[in-house]
Amino acid sequence: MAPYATRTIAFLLVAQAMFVGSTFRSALPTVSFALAAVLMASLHGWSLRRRKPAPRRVLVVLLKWFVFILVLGLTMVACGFWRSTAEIPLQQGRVQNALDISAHAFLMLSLLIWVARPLRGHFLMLPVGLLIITLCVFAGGASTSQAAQTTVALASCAGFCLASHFLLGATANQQEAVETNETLQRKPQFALTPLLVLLTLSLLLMATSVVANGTQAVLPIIQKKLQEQLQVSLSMASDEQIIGGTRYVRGSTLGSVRKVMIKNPREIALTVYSDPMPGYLRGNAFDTYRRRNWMTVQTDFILNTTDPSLRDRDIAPGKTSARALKSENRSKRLSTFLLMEPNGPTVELEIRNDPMKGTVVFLPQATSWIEAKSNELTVNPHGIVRLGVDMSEPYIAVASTQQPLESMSEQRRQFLLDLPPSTRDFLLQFAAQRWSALSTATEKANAVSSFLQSNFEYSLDLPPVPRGTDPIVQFLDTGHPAHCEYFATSTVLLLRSLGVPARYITGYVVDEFNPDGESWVARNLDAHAWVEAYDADTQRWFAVESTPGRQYQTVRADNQTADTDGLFDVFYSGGDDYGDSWLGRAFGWLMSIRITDPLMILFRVAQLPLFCVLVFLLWTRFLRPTHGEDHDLASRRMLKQVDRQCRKHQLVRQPSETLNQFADRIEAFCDAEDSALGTKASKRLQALPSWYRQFASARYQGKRPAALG
Amino acid sequence: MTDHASPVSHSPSLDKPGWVKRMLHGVCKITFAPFRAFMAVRRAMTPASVSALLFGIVTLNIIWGFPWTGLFSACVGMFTAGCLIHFLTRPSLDTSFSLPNSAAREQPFQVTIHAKNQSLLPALDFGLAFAKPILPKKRWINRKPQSPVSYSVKQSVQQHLFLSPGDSAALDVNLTYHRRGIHTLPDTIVSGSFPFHLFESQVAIPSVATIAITPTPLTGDDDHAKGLLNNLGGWSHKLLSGDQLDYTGSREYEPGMPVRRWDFPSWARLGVPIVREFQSPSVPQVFLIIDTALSEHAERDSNGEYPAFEQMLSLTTTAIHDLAKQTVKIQFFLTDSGNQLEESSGIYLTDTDAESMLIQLAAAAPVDAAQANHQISTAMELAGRSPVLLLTTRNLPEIKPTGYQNCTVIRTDRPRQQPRPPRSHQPKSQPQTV
Repeated sequence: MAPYATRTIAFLLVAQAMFVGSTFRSALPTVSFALAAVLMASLHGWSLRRRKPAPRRVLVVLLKWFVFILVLGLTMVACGFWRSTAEIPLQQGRVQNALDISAHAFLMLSLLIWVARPLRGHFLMLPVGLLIITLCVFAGGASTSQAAQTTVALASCAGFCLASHFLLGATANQQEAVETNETLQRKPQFALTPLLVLLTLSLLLMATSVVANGTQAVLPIIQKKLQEQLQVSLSMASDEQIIGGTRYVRGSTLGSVRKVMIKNPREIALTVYSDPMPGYLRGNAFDTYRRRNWMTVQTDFILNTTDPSLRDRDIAPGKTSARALKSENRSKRLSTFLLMEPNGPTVELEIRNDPMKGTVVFLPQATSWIEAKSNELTVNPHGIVRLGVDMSEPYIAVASTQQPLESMSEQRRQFLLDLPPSTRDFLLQFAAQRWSALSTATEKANAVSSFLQSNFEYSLDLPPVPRGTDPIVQFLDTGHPAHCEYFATSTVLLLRSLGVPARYITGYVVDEFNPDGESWVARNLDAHAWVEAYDADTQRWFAVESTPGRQYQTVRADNQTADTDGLFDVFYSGGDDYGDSWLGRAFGWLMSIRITDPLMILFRVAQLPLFCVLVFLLWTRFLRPTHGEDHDLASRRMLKQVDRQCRKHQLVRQPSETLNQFADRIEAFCDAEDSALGTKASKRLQALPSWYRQFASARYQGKRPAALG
Repeated sequence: MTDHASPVSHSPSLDKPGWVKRMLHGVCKITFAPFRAFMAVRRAMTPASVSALLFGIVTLNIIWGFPWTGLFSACVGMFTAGCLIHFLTRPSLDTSFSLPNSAAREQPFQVTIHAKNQSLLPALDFGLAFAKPILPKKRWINRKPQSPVSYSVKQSVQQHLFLSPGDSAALDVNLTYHRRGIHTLPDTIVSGSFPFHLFESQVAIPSVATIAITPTPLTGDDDHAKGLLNNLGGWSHKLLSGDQLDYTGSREYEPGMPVRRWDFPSWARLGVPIVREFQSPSVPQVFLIIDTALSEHAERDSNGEYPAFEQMLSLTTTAIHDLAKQTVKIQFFLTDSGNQLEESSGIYLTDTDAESMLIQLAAAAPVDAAQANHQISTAMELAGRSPVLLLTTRNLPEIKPTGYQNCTVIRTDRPRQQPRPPRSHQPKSQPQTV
């Protein structure tokens, strides 16, 4: 391997060590070890280059292998011990620890291979390098944002290609091959190689960039489709058979909340640590009702809409910091995700789910941000966190006292006024008969709620529904006792009949204080369904409770301290508290610029100009007639051009013909065909013999021939 | 020896189906194109592309939410773009060779491969080499005798980084053939590994250049060979020094006179240098007849060759070398099986250089005995009174010394093993000389 190749491999190894170090916060020891290994490899390589080739002895080879395996084993053990003891106090969790130990171990393996074989390396370093990057990315070494992931892609591509070029191209006889090349071929080879390497690398990076952009554009759709399928399957499974009531309430089918309530009703579903009572916590929101089923059509099925209010949004973490958890009496590294701007004083709730019950995130209605173990959140237009929260750890919801303003597009409004076609007429007539005189959304909501609470009874036992009849129509028509799902569904449909956008919410009512654990708990019997309606005048959503005996209550910020506002400032100031001074803010802003950003600019923005420059260089240096020192190439190109001119007149220079002989032939041709040729062509052709002679003379003397004309 | 293209004849009957055949061929090509493409990619994969593919599959878990979008893009980008670039820029070379007309068996000789870039694109990062001989597979259970490799090659694979369109690259290779005959050179393997060794595909360019591998001159490794060489030596000595039958008289030496044999006794007696003169010319003409028919009892060895036959050809090579060294004019006659239906006259060479004869020896093959007898008789008649050396591996009862007094027959096969009489000494086998 040539010296520049060994230097490149060494650089890539150190870069890899830096990535591992920055991911697992072990930069100093890891990079030091990598530098030491590179130094050792250089010394080893230097000694190998100086050593005379000697016949291989089996015993020596075996001994070398034994020493290598021994050193490798010892290094692995030491690395495992170091990482396990170093990271346990930080409470990272088993998976993180495993990733940490594995990444460091594989890095050591790569470095040891390089120390053992400093002149040619080993192809195993390629997959090991990819594995190290995979582990680091999995452990959170790079953000999941598009920019960071594209940077990872481009950096990995460039590093891998260079490593592959040098490791796989390092054949034993390459040096010999270079030495035996002909002089004529050597020069263009060596001049062209870096240009071609850069050009090809640039092409590969462009392809990678295209794939990255394509993936990031298409991936959410695929993910959504898959999750939709899964959710439907899970919902159907949980509706059909609930094993001991172990799933969280979803409520997509009328009766599913009741099933959760009556199956193992005393089982604790949620534990919430907060000073005020948490009250109603939302888990799911639905917008479309058809034949006993509630769906979230807005986000599940309207994928190609241009209206951003109908689409899910992905939220990247604002910052990651260690939070003291009340439930575990220890601190955890949690990422902060801003859902909406806080409006007024805030309340903090630490919510602990049962991971075995599902991945539903339960939040108060006006949640401003959440802190959770996550890389990225997906939130639907109803403010429901669909994806991204690791349920193995508690999450913290910070809710505002007041619901924030929210505008509603016409398309979205139409969705939220949707009525099932089969019951539309009945509902419109039912509502018009009673509440047609009311004008505001609040009045209508209060009227409907009061009507249902006063005229209907609550019961978990339902009469049978005749076939072909919608249960809600039957409920409103006959006034039979029913449970919360019927009341909430009826409320949504009646409000929509009155022109008030409304949605169906399921979740838990957390109002039982557990004095032993100093927390609030929600049991299965606390599963509930209620309604949220939109007031177009105030541009706010408000909760509507129409189930008899229930009253909506949400978390209040009566006794909250003001430090949450400070936390919000920190959130906005770039992730860390750098002080309130302009210098501190400027430093915070500087620190908030990730290291990936310049790389991103280099790879993506500078890609095209770089490519153009390379093509230009290639053209000017090797394809265009040059005026440089390379006479040979220029002369050949000149000769080809003039030969081409002769070929137009059927004058082809034979391989056995000298240039002077050919010039004589052209002269003879000119004499013979003078009359047939035009004046212009004849003049041009007559100039050629003398040029050929001059060319031959100049080439013989080793001079650069003059160009024709 | 240079390339030569063998003429290809198209019979009109083959062109009859015409468009049907072409259409079927096209349909087959299109049908199997994906499979062929898959196999080509599979063959071209290197550890780098295998790693990229594996990690591309592993990181496909991004659809479940794993944060490997970047790595997935890198792997897919490298694999697909690398594959496309590799197959689009695969070198397209045309080869020609510089090689001797003939080479002796088991003797290494140098061949220079000239590879010219035919493509419009430059050839990038490619290696050039002769195909290695296919070694017999190791069998651990059923060990059957397998024919050894016919050649061995000693080369250093050169990695050329760049070759402009129309330019040529050269590679010197040492080849050694282990069997006599007319051999086609091994295929030239062009292996391209552009870009970045992500893929490496090899293209075998079939060679049409041939080389004659001549028999090795006989060496006196055993008693039988020594005996043959002694016989040949005796015959050539006798030939070069002149025969008593040709003696015409002695005369006094004069400066400038060519001396064939000094007459030492007369020189001593008279005190002046005396030379002997003969009827035969000083640069004699010899008829060298090679009988390529085999005896009934000829046996093949494990390589499928007839040892006695090969030994005869080796002895012939030695004879040609010796005679050529002594500036003897050789009339070479080799019994030929080229045209068995008609009466072939054999290969008859005269006034040619030794190499042409050796090339004929390289191509020699056993022929039918009757045909050989006929051809030998014809050659004998042509020879007339000139000295004849007939090399054979069989008993030639028809050729008697009475008819051809100048004919020397050397039988090169070993005498057959007779049933050994108890406690009797086995006499050394001696070549038959007539």
